[in-house]
Amino acid sequence: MNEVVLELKNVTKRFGGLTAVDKFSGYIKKGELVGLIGPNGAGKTTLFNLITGMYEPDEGEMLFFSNRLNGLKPHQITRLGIARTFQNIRLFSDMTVLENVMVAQHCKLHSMFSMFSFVFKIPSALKFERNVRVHSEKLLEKVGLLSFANEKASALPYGLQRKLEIARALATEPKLLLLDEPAAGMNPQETSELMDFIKTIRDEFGLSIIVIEHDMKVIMGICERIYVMDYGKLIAEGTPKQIQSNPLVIKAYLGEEVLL
Amino acid sequence: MGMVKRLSVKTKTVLTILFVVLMALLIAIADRKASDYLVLILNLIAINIVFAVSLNLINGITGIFSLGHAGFIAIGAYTSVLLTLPIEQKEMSYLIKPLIYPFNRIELPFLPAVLIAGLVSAGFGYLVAAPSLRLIGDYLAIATLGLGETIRVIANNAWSITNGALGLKGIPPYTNLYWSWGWALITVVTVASLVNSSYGRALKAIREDSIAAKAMGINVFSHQVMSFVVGSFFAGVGGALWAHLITTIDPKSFTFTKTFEILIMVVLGGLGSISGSIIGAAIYTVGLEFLRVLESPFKVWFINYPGVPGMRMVVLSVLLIVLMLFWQRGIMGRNELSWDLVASSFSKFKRGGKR
Repeated sequence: MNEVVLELKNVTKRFGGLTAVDKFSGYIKKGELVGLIGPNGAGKTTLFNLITGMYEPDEGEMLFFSNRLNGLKPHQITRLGIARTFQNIRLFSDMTVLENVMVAQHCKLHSMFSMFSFVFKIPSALKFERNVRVHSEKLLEKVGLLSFANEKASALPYGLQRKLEIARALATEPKLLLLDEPAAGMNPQETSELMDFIKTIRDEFGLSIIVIEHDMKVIMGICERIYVMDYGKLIAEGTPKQIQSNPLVIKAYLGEEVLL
Repeated sequence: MGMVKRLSVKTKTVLTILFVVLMALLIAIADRKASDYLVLILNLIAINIVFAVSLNLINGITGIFSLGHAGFIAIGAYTSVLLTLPIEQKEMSYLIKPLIYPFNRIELPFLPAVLIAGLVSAGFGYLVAAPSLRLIGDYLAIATLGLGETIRVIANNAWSITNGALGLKGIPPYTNLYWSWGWALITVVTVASLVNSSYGRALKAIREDSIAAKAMGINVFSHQVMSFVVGSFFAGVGGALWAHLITTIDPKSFTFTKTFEILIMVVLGGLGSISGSIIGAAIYTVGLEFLRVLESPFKVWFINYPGVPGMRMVVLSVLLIVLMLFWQRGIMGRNELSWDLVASSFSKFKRGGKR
């Protein structure tokens, strides 16, 4: 049960003279909900980009179950079972809500040559289409977006766009979900709904989840374990309680105490 | 959107079959009764549909701004002509340098020549796509523009293959209404089934946000290459049909103005809409012919109009500018003409415009 899903060993990423992620090591176990916090520019999103293959690490190793993630392309990593959402929502805005979720299941087709079976409408291709549609509608029903299925994604209110982005990530059938500031721009009511939602999908889909978030209520409320980053370095790790009283964390957020 | 009336799948299938049969009947009648001029225009409409729909797959659906379509049309045209031109005609044409083997021994029927033309064009598309798709946006547009021109320049100088600037004459006029509209139908059906499948959604996702598409497990590069190759195939097929319609080709027929002509049809109809491309191709082809009156002298009441050569292009450009000012996303936008849409606008019409 307590199998390690993702393990990072001394992962480093430099942009010119700036070390955005500096020898980061960490892990997440099956079913865990882990928070990743730190001041702006601490390297949290860069770490997500490294895990999902958007960037290539300069040093270190990333293991997902027994697969080495280094050198894999983003689409290959998604197929292994890592899905993400983005800090600034990146939906396919001119497509419908249903299509957004359906497109995320395209990765189940492995060969470009299966394109011909779709052009010639071979029964297996039609069956694939039907299955994807049924599966997507079920997923939308679970997250409560089914009534918006035929709306354009850009027509949804902000909070629901965030939810749709999570639903779209779920459609790739991930084992690990990376959420980048899911509560950004939400009001307290929406935020508390989102917290319940994250917990629900974790249990229902058997996920491990890493959340980047600035809203401490969210992080402290749902995460079992927290990593704190500052200037690319891991400065603290522990339970919410431990983190709250950690002097290094307080220093990173509030600055050093000035002695007179 | 909520206004759109939904018809059952069965009704739609019946309507589609009826529509295709009706079109086939009209074409059969036109083939027998219509004047040569009208037949030429109808052929050109069909061939322009092939060009516009194939370019729309690349530019509108996948969002790759390619300006190299004329190059692929040239490849298709030359390939098919080299295969179908009678051997004695080849001996007469190649005056500067003789045609290389095996083309000087080959004389194929039309269908295999068109298919090979499409495949050769698709093959070139594949070779070209791999390096140029590493670029994005404006850079890709410039690269593909240069590529189209390169193909034309090669055609101008490869005397032993293309007969250089002299071009090729006496091409058998194989293209008739059945061939051109048959291929137009194949193009539309193929592209539409691709676009409405899982692959089409992936292509649209790439157009909307390529980073998010990657994160959803889509291999962006190979999908873009696929779209480019399919588009090139039909550009080549269209080129073959065109060459066998006008029966004479030379490198000047494939300048970048050819690409822009097709781009105008696509943008006019709506970038990303297949039915839009069909409408755009038809309007552009017919419009250009209607405006021909401006190039010959005529008299309105007491004003004598002298007839200015090239005037129709000026007027057409102005018309297009006006059209784009009022219809910025083209006639169809990204929507498709469907039976649902037809039915709902028809019922709206019946209720006297009341909602």
